[in-house]
Amino acid sequence: MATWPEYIATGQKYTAATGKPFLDSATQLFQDASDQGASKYVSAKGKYIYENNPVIKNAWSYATQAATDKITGGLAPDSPQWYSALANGGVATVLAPSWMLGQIESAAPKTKGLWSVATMPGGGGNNGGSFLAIPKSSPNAAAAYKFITWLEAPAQQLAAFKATADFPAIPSLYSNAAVQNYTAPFFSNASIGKVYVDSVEKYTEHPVGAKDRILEQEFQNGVGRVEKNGQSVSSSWAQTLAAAKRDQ
Amino acid sequence: MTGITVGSLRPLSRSRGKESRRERLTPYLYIAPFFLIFAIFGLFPLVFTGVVSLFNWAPLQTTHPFVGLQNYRTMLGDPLFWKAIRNTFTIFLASTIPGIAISMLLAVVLSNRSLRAKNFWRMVLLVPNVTPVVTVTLVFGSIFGQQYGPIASVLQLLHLPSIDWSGGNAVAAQFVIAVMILWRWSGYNALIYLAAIQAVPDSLYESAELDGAGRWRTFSSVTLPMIRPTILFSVVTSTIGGLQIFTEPLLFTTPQGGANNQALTLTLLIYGQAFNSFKFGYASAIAVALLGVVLVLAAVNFGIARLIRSA
Repeated sequence: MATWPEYIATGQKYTAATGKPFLDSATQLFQDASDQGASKYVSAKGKYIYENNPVIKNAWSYATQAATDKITGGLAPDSPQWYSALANGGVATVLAPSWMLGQIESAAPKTKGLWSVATMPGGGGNNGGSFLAIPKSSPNAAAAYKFITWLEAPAQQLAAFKATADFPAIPSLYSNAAVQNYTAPFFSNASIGKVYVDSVEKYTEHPVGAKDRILEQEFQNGVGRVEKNGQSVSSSWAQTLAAAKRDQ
Repeated sequence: MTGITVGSLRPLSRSRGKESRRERLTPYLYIAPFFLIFAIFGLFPLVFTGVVSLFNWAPLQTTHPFVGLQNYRTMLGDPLFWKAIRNTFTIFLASTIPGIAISMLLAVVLSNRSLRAKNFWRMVLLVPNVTPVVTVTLVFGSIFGQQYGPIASVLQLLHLPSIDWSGGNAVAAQFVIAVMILWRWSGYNALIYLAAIQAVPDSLYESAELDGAGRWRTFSSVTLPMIRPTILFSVVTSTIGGLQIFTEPLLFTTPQGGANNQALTLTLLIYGQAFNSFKFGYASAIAVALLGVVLVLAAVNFGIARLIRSA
């Protein structure tokens, strides 16, 4: 299942055989697929390009395909329904960043050994992250910077990874044996470390605009209308573009 | 009284004029803290919102071009604004009208003299109101789940199709939000009605009984007219609350009020325009419009109150 079409084809077989959703939500598929390109909503110069960007168009067609094939559960990640589905075997696959593994483990402890981890169709992607900033008004900015530098240094990231399995953000650690060989019994001892290292190394970055978050919400709403309300793909696309243009 | 006593204890050397000025100033000083805080946290934001609404104002931007009434023109032509107004009113009506009936029923039941453990029941009525609204929304979100949860199980048992409450269906989403509001506020209003019912003089009930009035007749001809001002008060407070519904649709659906904006309320639209789309100017214009809507409704309520008093 290296590509989205293969993934969706597998899903069709799974849902036809079991009657259960193959993945949690089409909106999540859209988000992950749209994060895998070299561009997303804006060009490097900040121009809005989503309307004709093949990355967005492909992500849209994969996600709406999954929705109209009815292989998705319409479960918003992090919702109570989503957690119930994880614990009840109500969903076969989850498109998960590394940190979500811990969520799955704590939400569905009884499913230990029933999960495995594989590279996401289409490879790695990036949906942003957290950043540390020092306010201009900080009375001790230099010390704060020193502390952050220490906190983010490879040794500390490795220590954090060993303690909590939070995936490190520093590329120099990706060749580290502790990261590379990381496995967890909950996930059937799948080669989690290699899967995520591989994803990060193959990932291409894309320019991020100030309004990416709201635009993403509009596109996810659009996929959601196809998934949950049975709106036609073309009418939802038109409605989504109108909403996005209003926001930009 | 206190002011005069303190004044008379002062040394005689002070001039009368100075003293009386101090005395005149003292009460203002006593109430000054409220007005100071109100000016900073109430009046200033109110006025400043009006100012911002005349600009094309984005956070993190150092210049804010003046656009006059452009934001208001955009608003009047914005289908999302009208949708938010409609949603706000339907949710408000769907929660207020049944709310009055439910609260009244609860109050009448609680005013029954032969009821046992009265204080316990009154406490129970208040519990929903002191529950944090976030908790309420999360719990109701689980109750009204599509695949899992009590309602989904009942529908499954009856072989009925599952309902996607938070999906894109306007009736379903607004119904759930109205239920959350009903659950939170019915008990609170019932206590207010109960207090009003208990203030109705017994002699009126005795006369009604002597005249041979039944239970329903007593209720409709004695209780209801006597507590009419209280009902009006509760309608006013629910109007103010109802126009500010925010947390329930935000947490039950999405920051856009769902995929179809089916639960988008005015306050949610203001929040989204300001903090998702970074259009502070436009969001302020909608906020000013909301103020206008509240003022209009307040005027309507005031008019009704006057009609009732003169009736």
